[in-house]
Amino acid sequence: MLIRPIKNEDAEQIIKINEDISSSNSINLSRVDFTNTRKLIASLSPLDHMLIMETETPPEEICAVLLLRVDPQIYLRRLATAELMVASKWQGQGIGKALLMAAIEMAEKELMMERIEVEISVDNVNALKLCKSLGFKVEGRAKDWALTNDGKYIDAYMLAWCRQTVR
Amino acid sequence: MIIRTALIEDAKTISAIRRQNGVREGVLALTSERLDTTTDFLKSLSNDDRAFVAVENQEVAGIAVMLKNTSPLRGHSAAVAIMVDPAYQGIGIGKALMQRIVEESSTILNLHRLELLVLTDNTPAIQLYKKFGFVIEATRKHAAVKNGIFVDEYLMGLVRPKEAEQC
Repeated sequence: MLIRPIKNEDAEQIIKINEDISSSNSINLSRVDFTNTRKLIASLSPLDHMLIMETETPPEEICAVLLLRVDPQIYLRRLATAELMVASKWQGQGIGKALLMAAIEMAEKELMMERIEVEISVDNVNALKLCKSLGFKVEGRAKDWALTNDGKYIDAYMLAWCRQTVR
Repeated sequence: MIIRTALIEDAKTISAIRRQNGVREGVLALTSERLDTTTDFLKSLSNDDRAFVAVENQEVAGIAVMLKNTSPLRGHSAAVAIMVDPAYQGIGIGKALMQRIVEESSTILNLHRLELLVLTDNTPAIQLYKKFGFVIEATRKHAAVKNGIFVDEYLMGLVRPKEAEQC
């Protein structure tokens, strides 16, 4: 497995991963639109960081995608949001965890971030477990945060990873 | 006092209020923030967004904005921000602005949920939001900066009861 920055040519595969995941039960609370990945990749700013996890042996296959966005309005506050997508067939193997860990390390040691935020639909138990295992803490629960495909409102957990401060 | 829709010409006063001590920290402005930032913001508002100003003695004394969430799963909700010129605080301007926002969100936009962020030490504002039914949903650690240190912020949400909705 290899972690590398995104390339324009990755769009096709990411669109497929997104379609595949969107049909699963858990709601993806993504703030960005992965269905239009080509546009997304083209519009990435220096404050956006997109990492790919792919197999090392040919034919290379993308297993997971991560988008870390440093808040453009308030980047001076050292705040970023993270979104993670793992292809269905590669789930449950620690791939998402490894990719998110790499992003946290970059955010902490290179970007000097104070805080990384994620939103997780309350029915997405696996995502919650994964984030907690990497030091994210549940900061609260927002009522009726998102609308599901069948027209119901669902709550979301608000999580954040914070830099460990030595006092 | 009158509440009216904000105009591009109000940008100068709004920008000046944003940069004041005591306001700047809470609204994520900076001492160096240029007038263009406010002008561009007012110009960028969509048909689903709202910006109101409170006018007292022919002067803009406060502003409230409501930005409808654009993510496909979150179109039932909007983010709210209110600020009042420190010289005019404590005389009901924030209350009048919030009244207008809440009315507009339910009667015109038919939104299900409003949310806002507030520094945890801003007691007068928090009390005002609570009066309108907002509840604290999450405590966002180190999400803002004030006087050189990271400070915490609350996420507050106001959810309309289902039976009150029109559709």
